Order: sequence, then C-alpha cells, then structure tokens
Amino acid sequence: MNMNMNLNLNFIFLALPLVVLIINLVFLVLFYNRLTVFFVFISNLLIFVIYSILSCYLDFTIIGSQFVYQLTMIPPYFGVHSLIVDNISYFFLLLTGFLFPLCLLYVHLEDSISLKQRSFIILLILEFFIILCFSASNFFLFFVSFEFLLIPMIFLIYFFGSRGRKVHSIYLFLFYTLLGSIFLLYSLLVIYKAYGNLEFTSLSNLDKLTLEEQRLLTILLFFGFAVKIPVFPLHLWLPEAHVEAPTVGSVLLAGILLKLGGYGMLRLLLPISVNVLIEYKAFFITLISISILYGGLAAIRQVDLKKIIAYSSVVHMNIGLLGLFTQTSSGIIGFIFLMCSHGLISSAMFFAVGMLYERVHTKNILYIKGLARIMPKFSLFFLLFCFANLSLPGTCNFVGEIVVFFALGLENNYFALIIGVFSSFFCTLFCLILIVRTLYNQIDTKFSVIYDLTNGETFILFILFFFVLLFGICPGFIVQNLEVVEYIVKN
Amino acid sequence: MKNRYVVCNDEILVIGESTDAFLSYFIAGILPFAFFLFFVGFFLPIMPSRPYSDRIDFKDYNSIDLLRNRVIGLMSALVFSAVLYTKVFKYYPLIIVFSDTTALIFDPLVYYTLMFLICFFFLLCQLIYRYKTNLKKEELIYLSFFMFASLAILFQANLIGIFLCLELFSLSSYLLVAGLGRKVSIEAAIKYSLIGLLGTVFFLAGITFVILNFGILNLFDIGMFMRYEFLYFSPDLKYYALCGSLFLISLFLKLGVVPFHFWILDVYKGVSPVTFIWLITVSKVILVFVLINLLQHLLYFVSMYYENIFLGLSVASIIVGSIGGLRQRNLKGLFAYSSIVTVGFVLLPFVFYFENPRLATTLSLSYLVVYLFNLISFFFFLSKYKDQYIIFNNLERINNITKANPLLAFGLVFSLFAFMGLPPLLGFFPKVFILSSLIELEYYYTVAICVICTLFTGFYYFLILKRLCFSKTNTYLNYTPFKFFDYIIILIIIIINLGFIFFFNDLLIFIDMLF
Repeated sequence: MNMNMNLNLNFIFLALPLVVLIINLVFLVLFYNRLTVFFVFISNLLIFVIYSILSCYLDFTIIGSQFVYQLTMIPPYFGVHSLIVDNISYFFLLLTGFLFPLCLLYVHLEDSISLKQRSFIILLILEFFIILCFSASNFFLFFVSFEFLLIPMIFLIYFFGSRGRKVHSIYLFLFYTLLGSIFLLYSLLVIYKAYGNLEFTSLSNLDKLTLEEQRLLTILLFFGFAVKIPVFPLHLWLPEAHVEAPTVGSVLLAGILLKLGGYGMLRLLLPISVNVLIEYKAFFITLISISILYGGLAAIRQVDLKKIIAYSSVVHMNIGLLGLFTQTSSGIIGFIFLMCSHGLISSAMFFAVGMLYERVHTKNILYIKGLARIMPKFSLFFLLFCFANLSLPGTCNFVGEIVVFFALGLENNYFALIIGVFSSFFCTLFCLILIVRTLYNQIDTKFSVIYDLTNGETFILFILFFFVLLFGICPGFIVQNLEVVEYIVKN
Repeated sequence: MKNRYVVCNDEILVIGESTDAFLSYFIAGILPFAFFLFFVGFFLPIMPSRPYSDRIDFKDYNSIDLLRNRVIGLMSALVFSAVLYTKVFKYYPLIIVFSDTTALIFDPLVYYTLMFLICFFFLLCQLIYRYKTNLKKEELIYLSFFMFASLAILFQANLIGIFLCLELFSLSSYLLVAGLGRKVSIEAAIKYSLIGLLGTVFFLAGITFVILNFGILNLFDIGMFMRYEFLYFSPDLKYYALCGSLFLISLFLKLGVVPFHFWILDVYKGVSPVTFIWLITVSKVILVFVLINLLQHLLYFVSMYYENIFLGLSVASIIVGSIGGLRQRNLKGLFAYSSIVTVGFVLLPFVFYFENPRLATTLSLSYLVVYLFNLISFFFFLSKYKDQYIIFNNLERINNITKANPLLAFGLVFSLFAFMGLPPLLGFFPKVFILSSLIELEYYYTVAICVICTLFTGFYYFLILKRLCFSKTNTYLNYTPFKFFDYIIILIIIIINLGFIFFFNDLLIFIDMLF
C-alpha cells in the first residue's frame, strides 16, 4: 500500500506536469479558442500548485533524490533515464512553476501581440524542456533538454522580437551556446568513459577519475556552463539577446535560463572538482571578479533600459558564483538563495520595462522622463524593484548577497569580498541613475497621454514584489534546513 | 574448386553452378531488371509525342493519377515481397551462388539494402517530378542504367562482378553529369570521368594483386582461404595490406575523401539540381556498401594496418569539409563540403574495425542512413519553392520564407537543425555514438577535433537558415501550395525528428542484426 502510494506521488510530482503540458500543446495546436486558453492557465496554475505541495513532502535535510520516476520509454542510452527531485532542484522547479503562469498572463494581457497562439505554443515547449532539464537524473537527459531550449528561444526572439538587430542577436545566442555545448559534449563523453553511466548521484565517487581527468573536466565544465551564466569573455550574447527578445523572452532568459548554468555547475562541476578546484580557483575567481566589475561599469554607461538590467543580472549571477566557489555550506546556500531572488527581481524588472515599452515605445532612458507624475502605480513598483535590485535590506537580494559575502569572509578570500562589495556600489549607482532619469525629471509633454497600469499588470508586479519582500524578511522560509554537504570540500 | 561448400546448417544454402542456375538468375537478375523495366514504364507513358522536341514537358504530360497508381503499385509490391520473404525464410538465410566466373550472394544485408535503395529511388523519382525537371530521352536511359547497376552491385560476391557493376554505375553517372550539355556540365563530366577512371585503374590493380596471390576472385573463397589456411600464418601481412589499400584508394577517390577531394566542388557545381541529389545520395550508399563488402571478406585480417589510414583521412575530411564550407555562397558547394564531412564521419568508425567489426559497420551505416534521411527531407521542403534553380546556384536568392509559409519554414529549419546535430534531433545520435565509442578507445584528440568541427558545420548550416528565415528582403516568394499529402509528409518528418530519441536504439539493433 505504501509502495503504491509512493508510486502515485512519484508520478504526480514528476511526470504529471510534463503530461499536462503535452495535453495542453495538443489542444493549443488543434483547437485554439477561449476555452483552450483558460485550460492552459488552469493547468499552469496546477503545475505551480503541484510544486508547492511538493515542499510539504520534501525533507530538506536529506541529500539525494527523494522522488524518482523512471522513463522507461527512452532506451537506456548512457544509462537508465529517470526524473528525480531533491532538495536543490526543488527551488529551480518552483521558480519555473511560479514564473510561467505570470508570463502566460502577460502574453494574454498584451493586446499588441497578434500571434498569441504561436506564442503560447513556444512558451509551453520551453516550459516542458525546462522542467525536464531541472528534473533530469543524469547528464545525458540534462544535456539534451538544455540544448533543445535553443530552438524555442530562437523562435521566440525571431517571431516576437522588437528590432532589426534580432538576427544578429540570434546568431550570437546560437553560437555562444553551441560553443558551450561542445565543451559539455566532450565532458559528457569523458565522464561516461570513466563511470559507465552519467547519473548525477554517482559523480561524487571520485575514485574512478584520474587527477588529469578531474582537471580536464573542471576546465571543460566551467567554460561549458560559464556561457550560460555568463562569465566575462563569454557574456556578449546576453545583452544583445535581452534587448532583441520580447518581454516574455527576457523574463524567461533572466529568470530561468541563466539559472541552468548555475544549476549545472552545482550539480556537475562541484562534485567532480572537489580535489582539484583549489588549483583553478584563482583563475576562476579572477574571471568572475572581472565580470562583476565589468558588468557594473558597463551598466552605468548604457542608455537602453533592458541592457542595464541585463548587465545587472551579469553582476548578480557572478556574485552568486563567488558563493558557489567557496565550497562552504553557507556559500552554496547563498548561491541558491541569490539564484531564486535574482529570478524574481530581474524578471519583475523586465516585466516592468516591457509594460513601459508597450506605452512609450522606447527603451532609451534619455527619452523617458518624469514618469512619477504620469504613472504613479508603475513608478511605485519600479522604484521598489530598483531598490530590490541594489539589494536594499529587507529585500531578498540583500539576504543572498550578505550570505555570500560572509562566506567569502570566513574563507579569508578578501580580494573577492572587496570586489563584491564594490560591485554593490556600482549597482546602487546605476539603479539610482535609472530612478532619477526615468521617474524624477521634468515631464515630457509627449507622454501626457499615457495611462497607468491595468489591473492585470498591477497583479503581476504585486505578486512578484510580495515574494521579494517575503523572502527578504523571512529568508528561513525557504532555506531553513537545507543540507548541501555533498558539495562541500571535505578535509 | 567446384561445389566445395556443403550445407552446414539451416541458415546457409549454397548452390553450385550446375544445380540451380535458374535460381541464381532469378535472384540476381530478375529483381534489378524488374525495377529497370518498371522505371522505363514509369516514364514511357509521359514521353512526349510532340514532334520537333526531344524534351519532356512535365506540365503538359504529367498526370497525378498516373503517379499515384505507380506509388500504390510499388508500395504494395514492396510490402508483398517483404512479407513473402519473412514468411519463407524465417532464419535470415544466406544464399551463395558461385562458380568460377560468377558469385552471387543474397543475405539480409543485401535484401534490406535492396529494399532501402528501391524506396530511395522511388523518393528520388518523386523529387524529379517535384522539381519539374526537363529530362532528355537519353537521360532516362542513363538513369535506368544507373539504377540497374546500383541494384545489381549488391548481389555481387565476385570482384570482377563488382568491378563491372561499378563501371556501369560510374559510366552512367558521367553521362548524367554531362546532362543537357551546358559548357560547365561538360567540363564537370570530363573531370568526373577522369577521376573515376583513375579510381578504376587502382581497382584493376587491386584485382590483379588478388588474382596473382590467390588465383580466384570469389570473395567467399578468398575469405575462407585467408582465414583458415593462408594468411593466418603468413609472415608478410604488411605486403597484403599495401596491395589491399589499392582498393581503398580507388573507393576513396570516388567517395571524395580528403586527399582526393579536389574534384568534388567543380563536379557538383556543374550538375543540374536533380542529378546533384542523385549523385550525392546514391553513390555514397553504393560505395560504402562495396567498402564494407571488401573489408568484410577480403581485408579483414589486414584491417588493423588501415587503422591510421582511416583515422587520418576521416579526421582530415572532417576538418577540410567543415572549414571549407565557410566561404561557400552556393547551395551545391555547401552540400558538397557537408558531404565530405559526412564521408569523414562514416569512415571514422572503421578505425576500430579490426577490434569490433559489427559495431563499426553498424555505427557508420546508421550515420549514413540518418544523413540521407535529412538530405531527402531538406530537398523535399526545398522543392516547394518554384524557382529552385536560382536558389541552387545562388544562396542570396533564398528569401524570407517565414512570412510566406510558416509551416514550410518550420520544416526547413527543423531539417537544418537536424543537420547541425542539435541534441534531440536526428543528426545528434549517430554522431555522439561514434564519438563515444572512439573515446572508449582513448582517442581523446580525435574526438576533440570532431566536436570542434561540428561547430563550424553548424556555422554554415546557419548561413542557409539565416537566408531562409531571417533575411530582411520582402520580395514576393513563389511557392507551390501545400496539399494534404504534403502535410502528412511534414508531420512524419517532424515526428521522426523529435521522436528519434525513442527509436534510435531500434535502428542500431536492426542494422546490427543484418550481419
């Protein structure tokens, strides 16, 4: 009876979201009408509810997969494939389940999109593969779904992108990702040769790898995932892709797709490189520090709203990476927390910019002035999210950053600590520039006809801000007993 | 020497010269000849009766009903023969017919290659129809001989038979390249024939070596001879390896492997689109089949000396093919270079042929099959354009198609991503399995080079993709409207692309079963 019960739970928590998404896709392709759209919303909310309920069944103090659903229909290439959830992938799944209903709602509210059906289909395909990616039990399944995300993203940018440079941005996006994927493919083959399977759980057994292989894999995996984070020399695609993508595309890119890189590093790089990371740590942390400083400085000089936020997300993701590479419990918890908080805040910022763009049809901050008097509701939310972005105490970004900084200080890594603290100064600077330029300046008469946020848009921003405050004020709510011993360096 | 074989068990059936000549003629002669007749009958009714014109005008004389009847007839014949075959021979029998002069073999590999080729020819004929090609009467004859030779070569177990069929095949392909007689085409045909004749010379030299050393030309005899009596204890295997490499050089010349690849661009740029598709697909199947046949029976015991040859040549072709394609602005040029890359990947598993012949052959054949499927689906989608001739010669003319027909664009983009080898699509699996089996044998640098080269190939497939979908021009695009049948084909192609992760294993097992 207990076994049976457990099986059902496995199916509900892991396979049911995917099944629901496939049914939705079939409905959307065959008959698109009001009822179908309603059905899509309901089922996306259902997925979020499923993941919320999952938190009650999940024990965060236990390491290792707690629910397993085996995919018997895929032949066992490179080992058996199954879906798993554990205490780390849970946060990313929850973030996915939380952001997608909001994106669908935004697409639905936006009147200017004429190709709503196509947009829904692309979004659902994205969601399917993101869920598959975060709940994959082995590297092969993770790699396959990680790479397939390119195709719907490219179509999303192409069909709904805003400007003429979108082909260039697609080009950059495709080739930077392919560059990362060749590193990953090579490391996949090397890992398979050493272990005989690609399960994430078996990676911590380092007896099977020689030291040379560990060094090779450390470098390969770092650069493979650094494309997605993105770390300094490989970051050029991100601002371009953000600027050209539609609002929903930017939200998903910043909110979830960048986290895939961090998740991959946590799952693959840390267990494999436990012994040899100390040799490359200086190099990696230098690259990360350069990208933090570079992102902060570049964001100050930008005039495009989306580019500013894109560079700020480079800064925040890299601060998270600093925490990851401390290899201490608090650093990794700070990393996970920062991922979640960045997913909320940057997606909220992109939603806000998209709403603004719908009204004024520009993203250039030189033209946008004095919004505080014209759009009070919007200005309130935008101000609050800017404060959250510069990690004001009380918002969730602050908690993540301060945990990472403590971890760095405990590790006596003062170089990275100073860089990180300085970067928060740059963050403050460009967020203040953003606020002063757009909200408080003399009113442009051209903007006098603009209307404020509608109820739906207010709802989207409010719900995001609610969670930003909630996790900022009581952060123990999500990471109270999180156990990450698996990834910590053992002495 | 006669009737040396006896019936060993149920699975092997050996027929001597005197006993069952009729069966041998039936097996080796009737099937290709039937298809030969069928093909002539396919185009004869649509030949023009108009005087003063030696070209067939498809718009006037082609009726879709005729085609449909032929389709149904051919498909039912295939299904019937397949069912009959599995009913009669349940054990995948091996039939060998031999005498001093002829040696014929009919085993599962031959049978399924035959079926595959017949279906493939049918698809190619469909493409001729779809591309609205104007064919001369002579060209029909060349095409018929082309098909006859390529079907007959599958049965040959005698080196002279293989040689003759290969010559017939090459001869008809030289004439096909010459085509309608444009200046460029004739130049291409002359180049192609010179290269082909050079290859023939090498093949003949190889045959001379065989007859000098063994006194017989039957591959089975030689195989037995080598395995059990002669070569197993022979002190100078290296001498035989050197002489056997003459065959390899001949086949590499015709395949266009890298040191012998310089003809490939000129020849492929000179031919008409349809001939281009025929050449790039069928000749590969035939030549790889012959290569496998020779390696299996003649060169197995010396194949360990070819390890470095296969390694070097295939890696070189992968590098040259992927870097050379970057500067091409011509669809034929791009596919010529991509065919060089493909040949490189097909030859790559033969590196471990001596250790594990079944795995090597399976992997290379699976790569070839997947590539052919991709190619056919790409050209099927491209045939929907009305002005393909311009597109084939100049890539700049491919315009933004997403606005005109999203479904067509979707299909084209899918097949191009499959060419690139993005993970869940078709092109990924054979590639990653070949690389995985190489890295098991610790060829780390080879795998690194191959993986990097796939990035370059991705780059030039993206060039086509960019033109197709993302170009800014808004000129009016001509395309043939879709019919119900087309939608079904598109659906099948997309499902096969997306669901390949579920049944690639079955494909491997199926190919593996044939040996």
